[in-house]
Amino acid sequence: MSVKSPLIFKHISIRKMPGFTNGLGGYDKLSPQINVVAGPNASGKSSSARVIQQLLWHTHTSGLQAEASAAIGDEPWIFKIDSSFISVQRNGQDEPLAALPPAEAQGRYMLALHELVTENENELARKIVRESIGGYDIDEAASKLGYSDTIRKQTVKEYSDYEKADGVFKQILREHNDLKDDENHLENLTHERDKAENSARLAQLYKLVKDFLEARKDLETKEERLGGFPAALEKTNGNEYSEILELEEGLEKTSHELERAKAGLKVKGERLSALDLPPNGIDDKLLNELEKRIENIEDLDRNISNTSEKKQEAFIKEQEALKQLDHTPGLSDFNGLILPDVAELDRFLQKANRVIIEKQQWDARIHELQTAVDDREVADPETLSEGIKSLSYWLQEQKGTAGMPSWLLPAMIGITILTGLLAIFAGWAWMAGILLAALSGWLATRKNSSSLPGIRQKDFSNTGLQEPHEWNTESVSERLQQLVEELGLAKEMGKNRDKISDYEKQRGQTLVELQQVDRVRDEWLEKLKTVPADYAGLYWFLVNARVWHQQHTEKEALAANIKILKQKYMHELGKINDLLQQCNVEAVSDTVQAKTTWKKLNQDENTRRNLFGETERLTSEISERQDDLQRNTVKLEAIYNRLAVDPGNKEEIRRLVEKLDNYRKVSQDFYEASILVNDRRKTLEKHPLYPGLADEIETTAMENAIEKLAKYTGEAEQLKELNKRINEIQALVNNKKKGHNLEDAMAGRDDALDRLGQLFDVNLASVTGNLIAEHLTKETSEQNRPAVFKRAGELLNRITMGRYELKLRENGEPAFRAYDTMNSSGLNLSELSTGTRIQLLLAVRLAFIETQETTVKLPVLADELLANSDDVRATAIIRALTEISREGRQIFYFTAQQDEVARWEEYLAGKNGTDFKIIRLSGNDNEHVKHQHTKPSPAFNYEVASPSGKDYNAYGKTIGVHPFDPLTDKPSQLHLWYLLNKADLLHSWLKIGITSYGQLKSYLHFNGKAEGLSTHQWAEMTNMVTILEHYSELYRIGRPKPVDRHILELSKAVNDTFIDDVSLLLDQLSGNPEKLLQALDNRAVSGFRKSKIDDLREYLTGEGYLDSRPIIPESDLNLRMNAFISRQDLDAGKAEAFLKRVMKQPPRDSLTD
Amino acid sequence: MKILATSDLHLGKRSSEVPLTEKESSTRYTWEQIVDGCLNQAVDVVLLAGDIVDRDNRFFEAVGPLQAGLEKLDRAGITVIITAGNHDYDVLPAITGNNSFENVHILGHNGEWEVKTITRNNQTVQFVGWSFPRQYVPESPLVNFTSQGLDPNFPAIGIFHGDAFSREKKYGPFDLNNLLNKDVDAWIIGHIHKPTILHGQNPFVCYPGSPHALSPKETGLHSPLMLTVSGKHKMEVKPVIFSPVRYENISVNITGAKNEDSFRDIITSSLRDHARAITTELEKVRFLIYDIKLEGRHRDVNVLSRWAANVPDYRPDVESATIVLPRKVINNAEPSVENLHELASQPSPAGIVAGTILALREGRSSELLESLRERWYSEREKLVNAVTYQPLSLNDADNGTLHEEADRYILRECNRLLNEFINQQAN
Repeated sequence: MSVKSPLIFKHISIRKMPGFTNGLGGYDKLSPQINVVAGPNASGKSSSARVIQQLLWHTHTSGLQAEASAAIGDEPWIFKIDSSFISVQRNGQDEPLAALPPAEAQGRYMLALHELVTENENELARKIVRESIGGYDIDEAASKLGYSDTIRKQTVKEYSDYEKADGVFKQILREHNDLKDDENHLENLTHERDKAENSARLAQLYKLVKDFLEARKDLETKEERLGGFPAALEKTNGNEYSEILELEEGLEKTSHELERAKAGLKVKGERLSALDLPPNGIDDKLLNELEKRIENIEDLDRNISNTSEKKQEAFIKEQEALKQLDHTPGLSDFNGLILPDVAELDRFLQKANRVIIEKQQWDARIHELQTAVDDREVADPETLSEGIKSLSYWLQEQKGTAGMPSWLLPAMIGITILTGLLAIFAGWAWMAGILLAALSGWLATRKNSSSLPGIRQKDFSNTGLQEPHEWNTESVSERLQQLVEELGLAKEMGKNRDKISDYEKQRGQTLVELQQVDRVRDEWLEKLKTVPADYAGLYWFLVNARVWHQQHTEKEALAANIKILKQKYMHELGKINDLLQQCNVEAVSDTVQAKTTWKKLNQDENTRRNLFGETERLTSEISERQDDLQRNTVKLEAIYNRLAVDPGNKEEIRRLVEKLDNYRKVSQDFYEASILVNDRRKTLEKHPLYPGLADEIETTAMENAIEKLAKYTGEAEQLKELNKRINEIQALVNNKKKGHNLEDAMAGRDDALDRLGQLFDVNLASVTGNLIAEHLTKETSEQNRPAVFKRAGELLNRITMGRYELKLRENGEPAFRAYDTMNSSGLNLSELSTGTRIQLLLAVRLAFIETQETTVKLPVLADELLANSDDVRATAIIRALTEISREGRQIFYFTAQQDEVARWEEYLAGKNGTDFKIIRLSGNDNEHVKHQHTKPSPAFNYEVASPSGKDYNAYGKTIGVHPFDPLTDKPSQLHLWYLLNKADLLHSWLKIGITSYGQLKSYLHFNGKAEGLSTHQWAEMTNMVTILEHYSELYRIGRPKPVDRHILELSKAVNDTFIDDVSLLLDQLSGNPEKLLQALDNRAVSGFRKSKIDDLREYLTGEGYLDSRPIIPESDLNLRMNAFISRQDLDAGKAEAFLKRVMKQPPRDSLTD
Repeated sequence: MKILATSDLHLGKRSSEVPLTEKESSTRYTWEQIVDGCLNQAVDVVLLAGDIVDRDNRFFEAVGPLQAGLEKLDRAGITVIITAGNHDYDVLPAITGNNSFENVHILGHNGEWEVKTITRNNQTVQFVGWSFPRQYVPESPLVNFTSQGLDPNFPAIGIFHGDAFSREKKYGPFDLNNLLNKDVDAWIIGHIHKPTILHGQNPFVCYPGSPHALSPKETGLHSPLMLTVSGKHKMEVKPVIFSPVRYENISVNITGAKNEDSFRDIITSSLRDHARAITTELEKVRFLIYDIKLEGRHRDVNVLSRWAANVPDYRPDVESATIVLPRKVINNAEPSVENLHELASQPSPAGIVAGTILALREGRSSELLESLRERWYSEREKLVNAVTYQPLSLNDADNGTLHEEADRYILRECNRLLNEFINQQAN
């Protein structure tokens, strides 16, 4: 084995790592042998161990910033990590550390208690073996990978799936093969079918032949029957016999009727001759004229008679009127009296009557008025008015009269006047009523008043009217009322006088008119003479004269009329005789005779006409009967002729007719049979096989046809079955041709086969892995293990100060024993103490490590190996590690247990020559950020300098208070120095490891004892931190946060080509991302593309490293803080002093300037 | 004259790994596409160089579509020249034997070379063909070839079914050199499914391959060839009417896969990228099926295998109607080792495995490796002969193939073991 130089770390600085963004500070002046790193949990022990490994192997450097100086032999080495940037330098020159064990083996240098503690012997042996081959477990790996030399059985699913799929495929394939056989037989089947089809057609033909022959035979039979009937039946319609009977009967009847008509004709001729009328009779026109004229003379006759009677009546009335006139001066006296005169006389008498009556009416009216006027004596109206006026004034002047209100008197007067007026216009009854009511009212209220003479009394007296009984109001009023009444009466009487005067005038006119009437009367009297001289006599005369005049006139008129009627009568009679003369009739002389003559003449003419009609009818009938006789005789003869029967042989006809029905039936049968024969022949001849077999068929007898029909029918019966079979096969074939069952089955089988192949692949892989594992087991046991165990034995011996040696006995499975040199006895592993076991495993581990190291011995890291160890075991471990360190290997021992530190110190105190260092981690110096790396490093111990009389500021410098950076630091990280002003109190917190506000808060939260800290103080501290938090928030607005190489790597905008250059630039810009982007925009890094700058900008903005908001000006910031502080329960002065203290040594504001 | 040439259609079969419900999985679909394509593109002659019908399904399901297609071509006046292969030597004559197709000709029906001359549009091309007379033909089809009957003034195209690689001696094995001096301008040969050009020109010798990819072994482009003959020695060749199914093998580097999500992203983006790269050939491809080999380094190659189990469920979208189906994942990823050489120097199982991996990777041999191979052959033979794996018929692998296979298996398992060892250290 070559000489190996140990690699000794001298200094390690950890600036940043995942979980410790501010890093851990530095491990300075490390011991080349044993370094015990002690600190509470989460203080960075394990992280430090990982950093040490990363400084060597660089396997997980992302986000890590660390640097270390070391020595290998005399040569200095520097190791640097900045995330992906790795630098290893020997003597200031880049050079990788060669001959390092593989990175995968770095775990071998990390000793953990759980790996070394085991109770079970077999487990221990296994561990020894495992350690001897570098900590690998081949069996475990093989087991985990499922390696085996087993061949999968046929029961596996993949195989059974294949079998199933193959079975399906074969089954369908068999079906296809069977169908293919069927298809191959199709040709034979088709041939048989063709043959059967031909037979079917022949059977069809001979069936037609048979049918035709049958029909033809039937026709012959019916033809023979038809020949047995008389030929005449063919012309017989079946009605002939009855027709003959009917014709014969008709002939007889017609003969009788002919004879009877001839006889009648003779009688009628004789009667006609007996009438004495013109040969052609008398014209209807003449008869009608004659009748009319006879009616005329009858009317004339009646008129003459009636007029004569009226004339007689008029004569009688005329005589009676004369008698009434009471004188018989003779009718000549009145000859001058014509009817208009009578009418005029009548009008005169009516006028005279009216005038007389009018005169009488005027007389009566005048008399009535005159009587009324004459009965009363009344003063004249003017006088009465004066009187009324005087009395009225008098009454008005009675003002102040006791008992009467001042308004009453005028009212009374007004009423009185109104009453008067009403009396005039509405009548006295009204007036009296109202007046009485008024007076009653007034009198009821009146009191006695004295009557005083006055001018009104004098005025009244001057009128002459009667004065009131007394001149008091009552009497005056009464008198006034009387005067008013008199005034009304006087005015009415005045009106009556006016009417009388008017009537008088009209009466005068009537009298004038009466005088004129009297004069006219006198003229009539003069004219009529004998008439009485008064108007009544004149009237009487007038009435009777009018009667006489009417009757006389009528009598004269009737006499004239009678004369005219008689003239007409004679004239008409002459005409009648003229007409009678045309009829050879004697003339008549009066109406009765004329009428009698006309009636007879008329009656004869009617008789003549009837006879003449009868004669003509009979003549026509005779002609018709003669025609009937001839026609029917011809018909009768025709029947006999048509049926070729002797005329009159009626019986023969009857016999023929009786045979007719039977004949017709036979004839119809024959006809139908002949049609059938024709149809069947046509059908037969249309059959496609007929042309070829026509000659044979025409000579084929019925028996032959039947025989062939049976033969071919039998042969054709297979056709249906053959067709069915062929169709079935063809349908199946067509169906299969369109289907894909076999195709699917093949695909299914192929898929199953593929899965089986995959199983084979898995199986073969498993077998292959098993082979390799077996080889590895063999290889490691044969080649490596002996050397490792030999070295392990040596190491165990040294660790146990020569007490134990490791003995290996390998016979198949390795077996271990420890040889106790003190007792010179071999011990089974189970007999070893726990400490010795650990030492044994440490020895094997170190032995393997040494076997894999070639030129450099690397540090070993142990993590709390002594935890829960008893003294014996702890001493054993410490001894083992100490011995290992003496081999030149640097040891790092990490622990959180103070007692372990004590054990180390205790053990090493007595070991002169063993260099060691105890390093204590407080865990409170992790607030460093990269850009502050120039600040003092934190101290790695709990020892805190005492204030010892220093002032507070000086003490702050002593303990190295880190400035607070509002950009990156959280208020919870604020050092307590800023919040307290008592150095002793601060010292007490620092001594127990509490440096920041966040720690103190947590400590108090978990009920930590806070000696010397009052509630008020704590509240004040909390308020100050709240103010700082708000200040930080405002301060961060618009300001960029620092970044480092790791951030650049995370952005993925800076690739490996540019990361070094950009990181360097970033360092020069103190991590200011804003300035970095500006520099990149200005092409500070050549070739770095704009798109990547944009990507980086986007990333930094998205992650919050860049803030696009404007920075709040200081004045504004102070204003906002003032406002905020005003809401806090803290004195503004204190708050300001606190913030000033925090900001007094503000961190370099290099990011924003 | 436009001549469409193809072979090995294997009507009656379906592509594996494509759902049965999809019509595109069946070769009948592609046959129908070919027929319609010939009609649309005014093809003059169709050459079918054998194995048009699959022997396992040669009666109905293959014959039905074949007859329908031939009928369509015949009606369109397109000449079809067929030579029978080992799959359909007995089927094709039965289909065309009754002269029901005026324009369909089987050449060399009795194993005798036969010439058919076709003239279209004043262009005459001679076709000389040979058909399998029986299922197995251990001798070269060229043995009794003669140029007699060929007019040297007109272009001639040879068509037959045979095995240029002589993997098995029973399918008409022939020597390529024997084709080069036969006064034939082009040879269209059937039997090999993968499109292969054996000789570029004078004469042009090629396997047009199956027009429809049937299994994951048949990767890449599958398409009939369109030969445009414009005179003696004047011929253009280009693929047309692509298979609706395409299989591809793709290697994916999963070094950056931190978790299953990023693993899925890497796989799907790799598939997408690959599909995009061949997008011009995917117009007619309905199913693009991938076998994926994982490569690169990973902290835990065994966890990759677990993630890989879900890969067949991935459905990466591509910008076409093509459906991408990841079929199978082969995990060839290596564990993340800082320095394999350093590790190989370690006297540990990990070091030995690392050394073996290095040896395999660098093509070196070692005593250990040789020993492993020998034992592997033996173990494989046991597996191959096991009843369970008899249906796979794996006995016929040659030594060269076996050697490669052994190294592949050993390398893969070494990687897996190394991965476990590293995990043991990490824990």
